[in-house]
Amino acid sequence: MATAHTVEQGDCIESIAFERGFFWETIWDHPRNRELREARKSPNVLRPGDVVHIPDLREKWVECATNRRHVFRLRGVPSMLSVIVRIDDEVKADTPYVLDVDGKRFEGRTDGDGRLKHPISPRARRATLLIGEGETREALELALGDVDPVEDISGVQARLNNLGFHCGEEDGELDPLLEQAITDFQARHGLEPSGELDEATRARLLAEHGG
Amino acid sequence: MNKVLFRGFTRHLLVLPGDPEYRHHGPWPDAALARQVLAGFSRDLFNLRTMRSLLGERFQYDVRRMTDDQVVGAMATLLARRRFQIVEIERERLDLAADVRPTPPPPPPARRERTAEESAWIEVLLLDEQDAPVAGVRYEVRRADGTRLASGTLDSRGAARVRGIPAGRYRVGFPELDEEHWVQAS
Repeated sequence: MATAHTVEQGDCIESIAFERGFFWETIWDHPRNRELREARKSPNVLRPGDVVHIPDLREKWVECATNRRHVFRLRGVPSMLSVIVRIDDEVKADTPYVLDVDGKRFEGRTDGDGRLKHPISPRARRATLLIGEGETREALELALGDVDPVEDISGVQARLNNLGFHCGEEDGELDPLLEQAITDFQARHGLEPSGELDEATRARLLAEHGG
Repeated sequence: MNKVLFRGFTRHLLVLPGDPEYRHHGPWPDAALARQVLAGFSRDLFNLRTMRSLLGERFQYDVRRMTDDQVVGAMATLLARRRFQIVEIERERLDLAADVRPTPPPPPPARRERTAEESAWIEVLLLDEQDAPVAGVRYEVRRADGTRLASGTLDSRGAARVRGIPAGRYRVGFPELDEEHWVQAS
């Protein structure tokens, strides 16, 4: 039976779809989710309280002959975690890392642009990234599916924190710490350092953050 | 799963036909007595879970829809029909009994000798887009007329194998996955 899912912190379209046996694009592209799609633009950025329409599940049967192995593929799984690692303006290119996602460890090296990509479960909620080696190794906490829309103060705070402009807790409060972080961000990217959240600043934040 | 240990009470072992241990062990006069004995066992959650998995995997019941009472009732009916039996064993053999094997091939639909044409098999494998196995998904195999032949949950290799079936064509599906969520790969 078709239902509605009310978004909680940490939900994204991929996690909601996976939990209910759907390919995420089926949910995201559903006509009844058109308003949500237009408002949020990215399936990875939902706001707690958003309502996602979950359509009826449709069964499918595939004819199969005996004495054979029949291979099927699940679409949209795993999810891809994609991160560009930059600490204090230094892009961590070609750097070894250890990624821990919900208790599973992956090791690798970032590419020439400081990017790492890893398949993860659509259900994954937290990841820890250890970047570098020896004494210079740094630990970063990643909250997956946790970023609010950029129209929200909390969404601005999350993106500034992720980009290294420290602005404290993501509490939706426009306080002096946040104003300072906005000013720093604007100055760094050639915008008027007003400390105010104008459209140009939000757009630049979205572009720098990659969504 | 030819042997299943029932915990508590004394040392009771549940044995299915086809196992060398299975032999006629005196009749259960009626389903009511069988039900009484099984209800006793079922007070231990371990035993209740054992009954549920036995009914679902071996006897193809839709156990998710059954109350605990209905589980005991179904087990009692099967016991009265001698589809399995309960025997007592010595303490020394408890270790052996606890060594329960995973899912057996489902029994042929009717009670008759298996013919040569019922030696066919079908295997189902579900992988994700990175070729990693997808475990724990419900699968179902249906006959051409739509009736259910076998169902269960994919193992840790993302696989399930149904053996001892007549050669031919069947329909495979994953009833808890939407049609757009999976495709046939080969």
